[in-house]
Amino acid sequence: MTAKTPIHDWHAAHGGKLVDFAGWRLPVSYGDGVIAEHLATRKHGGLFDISHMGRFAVRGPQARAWLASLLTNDPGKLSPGKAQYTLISDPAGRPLDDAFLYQQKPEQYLLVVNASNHNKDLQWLQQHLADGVEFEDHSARLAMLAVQGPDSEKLLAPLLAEPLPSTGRNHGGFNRLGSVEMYVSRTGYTGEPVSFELFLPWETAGAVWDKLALSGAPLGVVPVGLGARDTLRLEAGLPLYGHEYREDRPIMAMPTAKLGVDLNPERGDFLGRAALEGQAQALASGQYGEVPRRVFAVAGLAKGMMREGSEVLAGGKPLGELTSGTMIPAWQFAGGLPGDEHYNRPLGLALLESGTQVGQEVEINYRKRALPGRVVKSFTRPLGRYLEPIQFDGGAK
Amino acid sequence: MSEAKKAPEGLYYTKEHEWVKLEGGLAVVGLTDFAQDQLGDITYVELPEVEAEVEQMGEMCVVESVKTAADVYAPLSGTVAEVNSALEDAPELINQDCYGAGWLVKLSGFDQAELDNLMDAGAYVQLMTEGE
Repeated sequence: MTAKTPIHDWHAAHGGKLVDFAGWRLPVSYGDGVIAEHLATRKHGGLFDISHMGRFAVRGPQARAWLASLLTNDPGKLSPGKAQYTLISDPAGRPLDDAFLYQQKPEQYLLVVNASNHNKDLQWLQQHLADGVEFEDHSARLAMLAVQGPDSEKLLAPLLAEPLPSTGRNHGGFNRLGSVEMYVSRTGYTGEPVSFELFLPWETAGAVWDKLALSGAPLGVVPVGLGARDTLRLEAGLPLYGHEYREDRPIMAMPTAKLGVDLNPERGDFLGRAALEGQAQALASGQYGEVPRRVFAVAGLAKGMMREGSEVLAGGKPLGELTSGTMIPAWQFAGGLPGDEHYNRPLGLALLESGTQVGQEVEINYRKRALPGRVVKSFTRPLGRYLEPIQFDGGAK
Repeated sequence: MSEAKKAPEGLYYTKEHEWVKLEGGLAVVGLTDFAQDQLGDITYVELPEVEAEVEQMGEMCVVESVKTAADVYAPLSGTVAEVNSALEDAPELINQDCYGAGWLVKLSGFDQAELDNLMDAGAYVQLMTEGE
């Protein structure tokens, strides 16, 4: 039994290669394929149907306090029109999920979770309900579309009735497209410096998608499937639950967890706090104890391939293995702009011994080959409204 | 599967979805439309060295797609005379034009008699149809 998003028929009619993903029928890619969709997003922009994700509405006078007791980040840092990355921790400091929390009004929040964890999260949150909190699953009521990339502002601004949210990470606001009321947020999962997510009533999403696809085409903004959604997040170094985050792995093993975990003493206790403090101390001490391995970015330095599960070694000594990895396309940049030529490079995220240093030269074993690689800080950097690929020099011979 | 594009006449086929075209004394080898469609977006091709010796139905190269890795087998024994180096930067040529610009290697010194072990377009299409 697979569910259909409001855009399903459009995907099917426009060359979408539909697959089952976390209980949903969604396109892996359209006619031009994953590589073309990845490159189009980086140069112009991409449209994503992400209605499969879980969306929970949290309202009421105790909404903030309740969220603060169950989420690793501090919703007290938000105000209406702001959003934050966060996680749902179990008592042992292991992730039930990673999520995004949007504050829309003083007593109204939206929590967006992974489709694959939707039911688990729903049960967990319902089990922990508190007085003064109205908690509802709005996943089938609200659709979610993403517009990501350098020209996404050019696409959206003329279509919307109200100005776009002020520039700045994770800002959002209510808006209108024609007669459709929506919430627009500067957030996303591609690493793009200019990126938006739209929350809108389920039954209106088809017409809005049509409009975005039609207006986007002349700008080079194209529909993008799950395949390029994955390569875009990987190139941006963003974690994916089930790969980098796992329910049997400490949350602090993922470096981006730092952005979503607030251990400030003033915010008070929350579920998993003591365990996360233990993990943070283990990392800070350099002894690593309960966090023996953590996630690093690994770039291939030659022609070759890497995939999830590939072993990573340094001087013949095992360091760990890839949690995600594949060939990723990139534009040649010139003069601060993406040019007409692209190249492909193998990139991955890897769970390696916690003491590993950025700059470490490694070998990545994939099938019968050992690919030279290097542990790096990141694969990309923002350059104006673009995300520029960082090029790495050849590895040690 | 009946369209000419999916398995052109005049080519030889293996059950592992390679095709062979005889051209100017060389055997041009590629992947069939069925193979590229099954693999999905191709992102990397590990081509053999020029002058490498290959054996009929022995491993010749590896094609990687977003989904998976696939061994490509040599349809004929022979010597790798030329590889399609355009695939190094544009492996998607296999998806876009598997019987043309997306060819993989050209073999020389092959044995004509081995062609008898391969299928014609009709037999290959028949095999694909049965497999559905």
